[in-house]
Amino acid sequence: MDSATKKNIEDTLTAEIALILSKDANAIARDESLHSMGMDSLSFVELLVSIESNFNLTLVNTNLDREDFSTIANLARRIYEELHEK
Amino acid sequence: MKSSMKNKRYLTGVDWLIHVFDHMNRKTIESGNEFHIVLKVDGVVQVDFFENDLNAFLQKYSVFKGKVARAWNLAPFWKVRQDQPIVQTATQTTEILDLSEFDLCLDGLIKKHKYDPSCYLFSDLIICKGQTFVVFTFSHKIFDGLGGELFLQTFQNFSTDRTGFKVEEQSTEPSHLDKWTEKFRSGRTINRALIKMSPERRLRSFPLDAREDSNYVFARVHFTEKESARIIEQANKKAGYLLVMPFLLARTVQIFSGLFDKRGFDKDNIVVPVTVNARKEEKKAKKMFFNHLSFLFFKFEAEEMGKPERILTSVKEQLFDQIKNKFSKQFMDNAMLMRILPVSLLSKLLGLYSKGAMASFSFSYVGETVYKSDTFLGQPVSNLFHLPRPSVPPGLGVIFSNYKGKLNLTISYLNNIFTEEDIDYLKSGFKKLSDE
Repeated sequence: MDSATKKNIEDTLTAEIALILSKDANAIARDESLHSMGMDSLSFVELLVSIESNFNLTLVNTNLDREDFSTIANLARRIYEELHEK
Repeated sequence: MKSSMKNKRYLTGVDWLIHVFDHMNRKTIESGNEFHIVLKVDGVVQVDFFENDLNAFLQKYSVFKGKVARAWNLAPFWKVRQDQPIVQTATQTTEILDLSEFDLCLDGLIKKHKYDPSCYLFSDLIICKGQTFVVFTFSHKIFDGLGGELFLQTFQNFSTDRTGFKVEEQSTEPSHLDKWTEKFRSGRTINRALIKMSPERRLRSFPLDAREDSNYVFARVHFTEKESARIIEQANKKAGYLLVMPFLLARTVQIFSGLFDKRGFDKDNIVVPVTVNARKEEKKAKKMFFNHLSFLFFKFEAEEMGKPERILTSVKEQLFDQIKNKFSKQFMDNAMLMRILPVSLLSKLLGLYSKGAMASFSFSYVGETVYKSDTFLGQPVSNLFHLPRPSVPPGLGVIFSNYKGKLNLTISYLNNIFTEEDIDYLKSGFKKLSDE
């Protein structure tokens, strides 16, 4: 997914989170924190697994700091940067 | 049909395993596989009022009239005997003068309840200086930890508005006598994983002298909101965003490893089964009864001990791998295959994986409570915590729960596993979590 735009990444993440949390993708706000959406340790790791499979990025052993991971928008930005650094 | 439960509900493989653990416990310590949830209420709960409401509430759920049976296809199921009454024991009320007497009092109350295989819930009230500890004892046969919390919330809803209360239809369970290839593949995967976990030598576990007169002791640490926020902040910083469970598991392994060292145990591996919720988010409020959980297994090499960051990385890597390989789903599928075996035989087979020592200890992180009310029977609730009664072996478990931003820790153990000095060591290790 080298040519992924931030919008594509956000769409993919939204769809994955909707699947993990059994929610309607349209009801998911991209600037809402994953915690307030109802994510916990297990569902967050599920999301990391889906990021690996969709973007070929293994993030589990990075610092996973709140700044980059707390919202879909932030996470999409981080993934975009990682993909373009490769 | 007024009742929320039809006359027959198939048991899942995990439900069946719970029955096996119940059998193992009853064989060794004459106590079933149960757990407690305690509501700390800032006020005095009137026992008459409480019993009256609880009795009326239980009548709504015919699942309490059930017992295990086998269908013609050999799958075990929960048979509801509509003509039977619901077995209940009277609520006991005890007044204590000081909170330091709480643990002793709780232990006494629990011992007074004679084990009855047809009784799936009972309650006690401990009153101290104007506060009430409402202790619910749940049988794991029809409740898991989250289901117990949901039961309390639903009971509170009923008590607040009896006329407007509607029984939520509980989801049914199919026989799961299909997709055999998938189940056998899962069985092979789980079997390999458990053999890999099983150490060449004995794993690190505390000697267990389980006897008929053994009882559980609950060592508790209640963190304030401020301390809890600090721990969660440290978890976010050191393990990663939202990774509270891996952080607490890693620190628990580290603290227990210190105690193993202190007691001069050989440096063997530590194996920890971790209970995880298997409910889909949208089904959380509907699945009050039976066990909607699975297990993950973590193994820590002796060489990793004493290196907190290495242990934390190991937890994260193992968690990632198990979720990637859908381990918990495969565990549930594999358990379906075990339902054919009687509990007595299955309990012996389970012991073969690890030469009798099933695990070093069990671990659970319930996470944020599903009990959302600020009150219970009209009185303000100031805390809610779990007291598990871990299966024997290992007869030792650690549980963290989070009641509205307050972390609670319980170390449950059979009374002869630890000395007071050991418990002081563990408690002081856990208290330091908020100082990291």
